[in-house]
Amino acid sequence: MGTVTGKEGVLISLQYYYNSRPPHDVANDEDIGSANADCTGLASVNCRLALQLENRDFGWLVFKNGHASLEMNRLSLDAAFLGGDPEAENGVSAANKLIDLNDEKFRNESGDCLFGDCTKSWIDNSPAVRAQYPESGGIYTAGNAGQPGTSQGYNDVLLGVYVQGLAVEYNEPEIGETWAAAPGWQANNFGSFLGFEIADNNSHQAGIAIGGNFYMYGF
Amino acid sequence: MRRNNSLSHMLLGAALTLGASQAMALQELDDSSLSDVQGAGLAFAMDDFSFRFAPTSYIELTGTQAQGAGWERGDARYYGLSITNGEQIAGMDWHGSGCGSGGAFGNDHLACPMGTDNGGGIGAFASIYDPYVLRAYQYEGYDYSGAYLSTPANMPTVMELIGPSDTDRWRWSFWGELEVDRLNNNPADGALNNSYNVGGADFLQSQTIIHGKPVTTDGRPARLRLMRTTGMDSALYPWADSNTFGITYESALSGDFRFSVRQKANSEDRLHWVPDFEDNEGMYFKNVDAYLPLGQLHYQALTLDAVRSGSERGNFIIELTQIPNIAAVYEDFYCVGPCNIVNGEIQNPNNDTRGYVRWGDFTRFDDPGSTDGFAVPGAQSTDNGIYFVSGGTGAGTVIPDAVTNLGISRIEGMRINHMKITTLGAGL
Repeated sequence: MGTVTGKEGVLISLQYYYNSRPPHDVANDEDIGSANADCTGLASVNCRLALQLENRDFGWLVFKNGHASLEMNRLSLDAAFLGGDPEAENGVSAANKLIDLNDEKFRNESGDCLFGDCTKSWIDNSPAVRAQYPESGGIYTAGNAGQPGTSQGYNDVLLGVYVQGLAVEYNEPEIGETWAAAPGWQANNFGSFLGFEIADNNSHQAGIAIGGNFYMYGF
Repeated sequence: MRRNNSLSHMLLGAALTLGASQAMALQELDDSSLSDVQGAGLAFAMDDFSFRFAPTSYIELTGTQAQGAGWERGDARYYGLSITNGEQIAGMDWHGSGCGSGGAFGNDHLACPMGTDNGGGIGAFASIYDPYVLRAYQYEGYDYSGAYLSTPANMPTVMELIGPSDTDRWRWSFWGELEVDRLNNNPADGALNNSYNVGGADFLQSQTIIHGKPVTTDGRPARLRLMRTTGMDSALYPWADSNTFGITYESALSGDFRFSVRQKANSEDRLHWVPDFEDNEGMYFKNVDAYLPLGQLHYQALTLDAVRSGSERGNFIIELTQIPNIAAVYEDFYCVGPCNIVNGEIQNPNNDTRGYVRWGDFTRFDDPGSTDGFAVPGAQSTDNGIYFVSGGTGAGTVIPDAVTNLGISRIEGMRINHMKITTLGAGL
């Protein structure tokens, strides 16, 4: 442990696959984030997410035949002093400090200051957790006949979401209906009113470039 | 010596999670430095922020099979959602090219969908002095039953996210694609924009650019509040206890806007191909200022429900609940304190419940002697109001006199007493 300085930040990458196929499960990159084999249609019970709110216990809002994937690449986490030197102390840019102080944000219901003395100098000297992505972006390459263009370099976050349909499903049938009572999250009696997807023209995951410094502090 | 007595519990948790060997520069943190932390709120500042979907990446809303004659299925894609620098004019389009930001037709910041200055980053997306704040808070107010709640014991707790009251200007943009009658299309064939080609897809591609701030001109921030509703009892609603998850949202936006569809002569005009949009053409809105309060603590909220019986079951309801029919609540909704009405006009209106949308700056319209703001626009003005710029007739060039300014327009005093949206696509 003698060489540990305890002053370095950390880099974090994260991968999350929900009813979808991770890289080690597919033969080529274009299939990353595609649906698991048992996600085939609105009735696929293993590919559902259902919500129920208080006093709405007659049924469920069911996200049907859904899968998702998330990759976050190389998010840098470090400590900072908010108004400190941008290099030595990971502080914010000069432009960020040109905005007027809104001290109401740091006060309670009675108007008492909860954050030091609610002055700019107090905020400048306060510590924070900083998450950072370098400013980046990608490029677009036009396609050829039959092949839409492609994007490269949008790799900070890869996000894929697919939901074939959304509908409310009920626990009990009305008189005259033939379907059996069952928890609504299992049912598929009402089809869909809307579906949605987040993807790329060439893959199952949208590419997102994020830049900047994010500071979290509290009071 | 730095003060460290303002760290949140969250910060401590984050540091501990990272492990002792990776505790970064937190060596000055000790128990006593946390003694002043109240746990009352979390602040989020964002510096040099930018966010860019790839121009080929999209969010899509998919329709269902159309029911009945005269209806076609529609599927909408929103590509390249971007939030980038808007303080400087320099920018680029979806192909990564610079665009004609010469200020023609007042398009200084509206020619290019993405800003490139500062690497695209927005210096004060959320300043450390005016950050996003997430906190639990208690507000006085009438609940759904008309009871006035004002003590710590009975005031409902709301979780609220408050946006900044001032930011640098951003560019917020995307390009959109509306595909019609998908099931009968062959998307691989492509077709001309919004014109039918046998065997090909019917579609309309468009570009939307907003240049401004997520605050009103007079500095109202956007606010999102989440709560459990209070006082929705059987006297008001058909169910014995109807309290449920509630949302209020105050939408605030000010700035300029351009919506366009024309593409350059060499742009590939095909479904799912990234268009090269013309830099000037489109519908412009200059000096927009909009405030829209949805819900009021604690007697009106956005709630979620479903059609509970009958043939439209399966469908989802978003409802901005009706103002309870109680005199005290109505008075609170319309007035600050007891309503002072003279000749039928409220003298002390409650401006927190009054939404407005102003398409143009009205300063000199309201006060002709003023030198602030912008003049009431003429037929070809490009600095104020609503105007159209034509796409010309040649190879993408625009003739200089092709501006048509419609003037300025506004809606004031927009209060919503009740709004209910029900989907109808399920269960068909």
